[in-house]
Amino acid sequence: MPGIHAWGSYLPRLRLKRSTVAAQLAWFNRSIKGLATGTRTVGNWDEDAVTMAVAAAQSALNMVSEAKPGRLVFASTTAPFLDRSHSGLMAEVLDLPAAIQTQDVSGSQRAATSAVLAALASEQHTLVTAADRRAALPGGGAEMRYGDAGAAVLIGPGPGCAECLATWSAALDFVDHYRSQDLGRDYELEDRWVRDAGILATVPDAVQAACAEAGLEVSTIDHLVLPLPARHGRKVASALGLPAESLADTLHGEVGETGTGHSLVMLAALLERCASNQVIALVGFGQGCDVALFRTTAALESIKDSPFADALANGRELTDYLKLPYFSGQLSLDEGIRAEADKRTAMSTYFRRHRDLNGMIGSVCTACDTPHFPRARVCVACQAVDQMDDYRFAHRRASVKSFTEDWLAATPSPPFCYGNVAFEGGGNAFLEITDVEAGELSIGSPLKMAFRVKDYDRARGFRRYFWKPVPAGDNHG
Amino acid sequence: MAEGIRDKVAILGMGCTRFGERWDCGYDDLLLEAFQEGLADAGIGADQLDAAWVGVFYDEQSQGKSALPMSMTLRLPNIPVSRVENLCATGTESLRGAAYAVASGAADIAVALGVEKLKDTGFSGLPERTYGSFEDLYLPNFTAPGAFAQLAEAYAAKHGIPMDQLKQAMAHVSWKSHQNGSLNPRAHLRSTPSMEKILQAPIIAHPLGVFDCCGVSDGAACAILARPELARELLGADQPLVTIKALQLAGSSGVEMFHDSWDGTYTPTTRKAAQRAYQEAGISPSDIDMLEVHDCFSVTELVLMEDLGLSEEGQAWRDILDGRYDRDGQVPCQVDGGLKCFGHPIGASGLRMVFEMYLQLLGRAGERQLESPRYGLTHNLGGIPNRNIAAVSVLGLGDSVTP
Repeated sequence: MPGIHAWGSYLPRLRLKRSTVAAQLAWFNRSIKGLATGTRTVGNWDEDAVTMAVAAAQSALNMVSEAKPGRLVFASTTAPFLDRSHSGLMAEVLDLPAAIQTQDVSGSQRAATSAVLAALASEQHTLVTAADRRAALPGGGAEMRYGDAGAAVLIGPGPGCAECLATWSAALDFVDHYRSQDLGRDYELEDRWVRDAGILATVPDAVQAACAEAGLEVSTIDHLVLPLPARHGRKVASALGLPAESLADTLHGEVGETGTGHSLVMLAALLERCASNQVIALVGFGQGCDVALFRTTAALESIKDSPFADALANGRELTDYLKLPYFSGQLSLDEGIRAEADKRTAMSTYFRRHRDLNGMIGSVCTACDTPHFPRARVCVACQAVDQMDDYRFAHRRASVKSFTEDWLAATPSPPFCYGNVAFEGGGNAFLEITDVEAGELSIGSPLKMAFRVKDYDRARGFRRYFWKPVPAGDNHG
Repeated sequence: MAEGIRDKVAILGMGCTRFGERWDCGYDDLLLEAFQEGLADAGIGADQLDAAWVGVFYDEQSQGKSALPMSMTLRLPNIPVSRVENLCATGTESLRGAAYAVASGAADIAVALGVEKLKDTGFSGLPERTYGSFEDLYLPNFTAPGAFAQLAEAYAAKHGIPMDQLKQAMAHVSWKSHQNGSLNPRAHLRSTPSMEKILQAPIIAHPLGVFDCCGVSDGAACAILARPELARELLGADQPLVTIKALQLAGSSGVEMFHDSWDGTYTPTTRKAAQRAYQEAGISPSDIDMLEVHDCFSVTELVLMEDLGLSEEGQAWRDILDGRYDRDGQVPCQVDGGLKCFGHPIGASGLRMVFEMYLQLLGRAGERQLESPRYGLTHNLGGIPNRNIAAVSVLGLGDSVTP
């Protein structure tokens, strides 16, 4: 049977205490006081479903050096484009071969688990990435419960670190919530109705059916990965006759509900703490139910990477609540005339250099070994002409050669930080530095590269991406 | 090294507008103002010009492309006209075109004009611009203060200078220029803020505060150049003559931006251009009596003192605090207020620096006149520390060098 060969996870660095939200908005909605425990993740202004899925995919690909996925699937309900292949873009960002099958899936909170089920049924190594950045209006429960994150699993032939035992899927047009193009945000229905008429009527049956398919007793399940509020999870476990301890951490305390990828985020957190020979039921819920049963193998014990734990540790408290609605498009601020600068992308220019930009690929002089970004034809050091090989920078560490914190430049999150950056092994570039606060950088600060939104072209509904250094110090993975 | 143009080009006359927020003037009014003053100073008419150059950087928001807006505004009589642009070194580029025309004999008399109408954007600071369709895809959306601020932390780290001490030196640079600018009726900023006020100003781009940044100004300047023999004929043999002793440019090859060898603390182009300029003029840095440098930001002026060979490496901040570059110091710098306080109408700045040297050498600088300077240096920088065009010129009196 196929299995999971690697996993990845990404959490944005910003962490917002729910009590900070309540302090701003409990005057409007007293009920959110009851939700005011723990923290949720908040994507920075330059993060979206694509960038978070990329970061998660990078950590998954780092886990297994021999990983060569022939398929790349991106699951999200908040992908920025209705008509442009995000997975095709991501294949270039991840520097995967052009001869790859890519697919974007969407449409429900079950999109990611459905992609996993399809991957398990495939003969090929498939990298399933998933991420959501769900916007919620200020003052509601969704804003409190949600979080932003990305996840990835590499699925392929052979048991890997978690062998698939069986899968089960059922469809049901149960509209517990929806998000239409017309409305643009989630419209949620009554919680108890969702629990009784939806979750409890669907999930236990599906898990049982999957177990029957695998020839397993339900009671052999060690871990139930349910991307649902814990109080509903306990009801599901109870209906299945499983102890509450079998429920995997919903990550409500530190992350929040992260959308379609949430099962996979929970799975990543679980696998990092899981022993071998454990049975895991991975569940997706949304207009039906997906279940995949896995048994962890001895190979799991040899994996030392912990992308989820690393991402969790790389947090910084967000004390300015308003950045959440502002960064997620729920609040307009006076950005000034300077922000009116036109960000139109010349698509033919972009296309000439798309692999270089997306994969952060420059060149290295074969005469003197000097790396260049962007790609150069004439070597800056020895002036050799057209003696260059490709040279990828995206995975290289770097350090700050010079920097500033610019309070004048138009940016959604001042100060705008940028500087001359020196790469380990050679090569220099003048780059925007993100995920830093005033006072955080100094000359020589260690950096690593992250794929982010470079500019939003609001007039044309386009966004362009590029790589930016982020801190790579002790607590930054 | 090539023969150069030392003493092959004389300044017949110059003009320079008041710099500042000239809300009532368009680029054409500014140009005409500088041109009329230059013609009157030279004692010639427009019909005696053989060629004209104009420098303007932000053409999009003022005059548009080409030299035609200039030649039509000034009603030049069908002579060769060119518009040049080399970022903030545009003014020097205009001077260079006209100087080369005269030095080569292609023109007996040529005019170099520079103009910038910056204050039509509706907001403070420099206009936003694109870096071309490719660079926009990966370069940070930097500002000029942010790009130059880079020098400060890198310089402080390299030389082990605590930032508060470097800030003191930077503040002294600005304090001195405000003192100088207050004596200049054409200057944009004539206030004299205290060191304390300068140090406590709001930060624009760390560690640069408001007073570390030069003025964003409207203005124009003009230099009318002629062969020295012709200039003597026109001005009278008894009149002192200012000649160009050296005019050198150095543009980045990309090393600063792309190679490990540059540490972000200096401008290699300035070092190259200065070396060549001293050689062309046949002088050494110690012969310089005064200078106007590209003090777009206080920290720029600070590192330039080293790049021009006037301070030892890592010592400029001490020399500045010691008053070496004050008006009453050993080598007065920015006697007219500099970009900092005279202002920085980009296309005009390189010519404005020459204007001050011209006035000082002729003893016409009024209240700020220095005591018999012999050589003046101008330094005009286009671009940002990691890629730029550095222009270094030396000016002196026509008889101060034996050919």
